Amino acid sequence: MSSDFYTSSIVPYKAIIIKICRAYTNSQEDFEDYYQEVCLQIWKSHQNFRHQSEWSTWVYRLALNVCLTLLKKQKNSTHHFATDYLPEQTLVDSRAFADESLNLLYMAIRQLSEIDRAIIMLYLDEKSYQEISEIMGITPNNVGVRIKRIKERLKKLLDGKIN
Amino acid sequence: MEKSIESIWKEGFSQQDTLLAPKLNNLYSKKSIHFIDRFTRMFKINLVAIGIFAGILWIASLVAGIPWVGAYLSLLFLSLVAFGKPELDKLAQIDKTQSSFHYLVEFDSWLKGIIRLYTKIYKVFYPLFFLGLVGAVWVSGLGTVMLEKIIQKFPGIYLYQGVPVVWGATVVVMTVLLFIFGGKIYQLDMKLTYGNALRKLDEMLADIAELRS
Repeated sequence: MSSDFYTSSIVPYKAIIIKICRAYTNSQEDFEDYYQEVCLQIWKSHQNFRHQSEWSTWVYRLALNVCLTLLKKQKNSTHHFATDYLPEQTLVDSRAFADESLNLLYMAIRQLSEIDRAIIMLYLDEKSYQEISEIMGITPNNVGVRIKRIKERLKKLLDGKIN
Repeated sequence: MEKSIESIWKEGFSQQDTLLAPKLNNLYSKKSIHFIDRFTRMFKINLVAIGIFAGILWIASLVAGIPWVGAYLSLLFLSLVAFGKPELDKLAQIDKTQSSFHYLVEFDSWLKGIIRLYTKIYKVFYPLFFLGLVGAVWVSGLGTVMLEKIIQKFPGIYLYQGVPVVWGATVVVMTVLLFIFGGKIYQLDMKLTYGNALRKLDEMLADIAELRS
């Protein structure tokens, strides 16, 4: 990957990649792996970008796909035994961000389904319902309904934890 | 008053250090180690399976009353394990601390070496295996039964030393064909078993070479 490509096509969008990778990983090590894989896939697939959407939307979609694929692979390759299970809080990297409230929000987001995580992040990043529907492949109406439900769930999960 | 999730998000990400990206280095490091580990596991399982099969084959031959042919076939399979085990040990010696590129290049060269070796082995293995099967049929008495039926049906069939010439010729032709195409059959088998893994290795090597250029 040339440093030019990295500087011009990835660095300005690293926030998107970081936010998504953090939502699908529980440790710094996994986060770094996911981040590297997303960057690698952007570099490998950028020739497939057809300019039918914004570059940022494309990066979003690709990052989500890569994270979901890696997550699926990880799930398939992990053989769980009763003693392997640790409480969610123990597994989650709770010091990913300097801001404590953001860490708590991420912990709550990680408890959502994989698709809901993506939808709420797109919503929080101020993507329109139309854009979210294009990225996620669902109707804008469905996006609205799901966001409402996800926000209620997050509110319950965060209830009393953040002032 | 409780903060909304929108404001937590906005305020949290307004801090500069929140968006520190990890350094991109040695992109293929973990991937290549995983890939080679998986391949090694597959190769090991394959060898163990051949070993177990050789044992079962010998036991089955004892039950069938053809211990010598069974021993011959089992030894033939065990020879595959005997050739493969040192190669597996060589694979374990590849230094994982090298750069991904060198690690994969060494693995690729090991893989090509083993394919060359087994292509030669299978050129001999398949004909010998076929002859073993023919021997098993003959020794078990099944051949004699078949011969009697054929003689009844075709009384004019030409025999040499009590064996139909057509049979002998077929065995010879098959043995020669297996010798000629044994290597190709093995390569086809490799493609079917490890095809995806081999393609992935080529892709990874091409990507890393491009990344390095």
